[in-house]
Amino acid sequence: MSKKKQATASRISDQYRREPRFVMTWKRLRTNVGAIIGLIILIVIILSMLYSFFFISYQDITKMNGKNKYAPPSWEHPFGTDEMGRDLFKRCVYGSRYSVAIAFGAVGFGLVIGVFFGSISGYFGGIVDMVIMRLTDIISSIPGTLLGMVIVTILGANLLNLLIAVGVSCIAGFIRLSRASVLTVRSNEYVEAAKAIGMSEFRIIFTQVLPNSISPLIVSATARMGTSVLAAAGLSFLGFGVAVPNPEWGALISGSRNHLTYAPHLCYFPGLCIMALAFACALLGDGLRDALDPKLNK
Amino acid sequence: MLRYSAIRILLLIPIIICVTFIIYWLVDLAPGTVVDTMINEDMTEEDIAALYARYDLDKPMIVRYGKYMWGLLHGDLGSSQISGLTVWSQFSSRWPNTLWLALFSVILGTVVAIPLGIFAAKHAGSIWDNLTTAFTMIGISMPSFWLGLMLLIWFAGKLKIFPAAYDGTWRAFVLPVFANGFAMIAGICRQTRSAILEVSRADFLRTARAKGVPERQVTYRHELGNAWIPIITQIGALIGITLGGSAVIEAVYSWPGVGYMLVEAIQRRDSVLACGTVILNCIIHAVVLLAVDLIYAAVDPRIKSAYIGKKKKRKVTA
Repeated sequence: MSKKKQATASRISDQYRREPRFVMTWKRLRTNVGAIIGLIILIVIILSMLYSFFFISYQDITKMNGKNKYAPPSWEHPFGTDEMGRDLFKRCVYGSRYSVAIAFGAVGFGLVIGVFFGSISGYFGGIVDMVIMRLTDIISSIPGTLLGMVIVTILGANLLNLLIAVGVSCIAGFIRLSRASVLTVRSNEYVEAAKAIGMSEFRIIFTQVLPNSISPLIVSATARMGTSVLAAAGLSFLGFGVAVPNPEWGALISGSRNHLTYAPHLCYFPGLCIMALAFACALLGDGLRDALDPKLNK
Repeated sequence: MLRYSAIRILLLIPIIICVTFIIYWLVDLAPGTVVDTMINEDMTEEDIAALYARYDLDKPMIVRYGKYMWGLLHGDLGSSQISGLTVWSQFSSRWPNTLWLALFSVILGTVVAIPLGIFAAKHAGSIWDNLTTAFTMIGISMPSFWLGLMLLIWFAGKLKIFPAAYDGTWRAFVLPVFANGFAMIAGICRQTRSAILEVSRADFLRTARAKGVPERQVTYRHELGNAWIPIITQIGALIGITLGGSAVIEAVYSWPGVGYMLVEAIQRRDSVLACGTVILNCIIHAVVLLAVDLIYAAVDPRIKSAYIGKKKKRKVTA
């Protein structure tokens, strides 16, 4: 029995060795209904963003129509019109670019900086580790919203600065996470082997350690995309975001506050857009966690 | 454990020094100064220069920071540069509103989320579990300020059940507590579900069931008892964040709390008020985190023994 088991085991491991991890993950992700729903929502949002690049001009979304103010949703204007008679649907579709940029840009920014410092900290240990971790403690003891507000105030209210502001508040989390996963990988034999054949330390980090500790980072980054969208919308809502004439979703909600009693649709739809994007990221993050979690490899 | 707490509190000092420096410096870097709104056209050059001198704006930032820290060393958080009131009086008059809002929302979140999370974990994989998961997913992806506005439109605007802004009565609490607590329900519920699932395969549960412990007791004492740590971590983090004031919720409901006060302080470049609020928030946050750490030891004897056995353990350096 044991021989048979061994034979099966070696066959399976052979098969898996040839199959790239990406394919394996995708196969498992495919069976997760939630993740697929999230992926579809995300693709729809990205496609509508691409559509807006080519077919919705800035003139379209700022064109005023004094005769058609506060129109409720109709076939002609699916989301209704705002206080200047502008079509809210077009504004929301146009505004998707800001939130998608935040979702990918802010998290990417945080990820690059966080992983760089986190892996250095985890790999080298000692005094480097201590300095980086103490700095991380300090950054993370400043509330994210506050840091975001201050950064936007200094740099000015536009998309790039909002992106940096939201990205900075993810750095501490990514430093901790990548440090922890590097620590668990560092003591493996293959890292020792890489050292033995004389690889440089940075090469070991980037070719041996990081690829093997990347799963939790992917999961956390995807989930973080959703919270970043929410954080950016919150900052825009408070007036620390993309400046007013631009239809950022949070700013649209903020602008609707003066018209809540007679035009609530101005508040409903941008909120639903934010929710859809954050929901998609959360679902996808959950699905990825299940697909990448080695504990579930039954 | 007392020693541990004392060390934790002392470690706050360098953090506060760094954080105040960062905030002071960043607010200073921001274009515009606190006197901008005070200058009008009738002022002469000398008046303006005098105004600058009054706020030490003619001196380098490090001098102002030094003065501020010197005051702080003597327990003086300074006075708001705009209203002239002391930071402490402004903070302490508004903080109770934030405190109650935060506590009620966390209580709402905990009371609803833990049974819901246990329920979902007990029925893992069933339709009820999927529905709960969908609900929590919506909860964590719904912007709280949007939910707040929706509640305003329906319950304050159309149905007129609850007031739209703070009026000091309990009715004013209902909408903001719900808007604030909804995301917490979702977050704590997810954490509870996964923590319960994590322990659900443990051997001691089988033992308990085998010796005939009622299922209810297995769930609440054996299972939940071993799943507390991540749940408490989550609740503690939420309390820590909300005690600093939820700026967006306070903005939606014109709530006289500290969160929106901080927003206004930054908008007006009132660096003293901003720094003071941040310092007090940091202290509150750290105390909450410390309390969470001590609660760990209270709920989990394994952690308690780790505190006591700490001195004997030595790190082996590679």
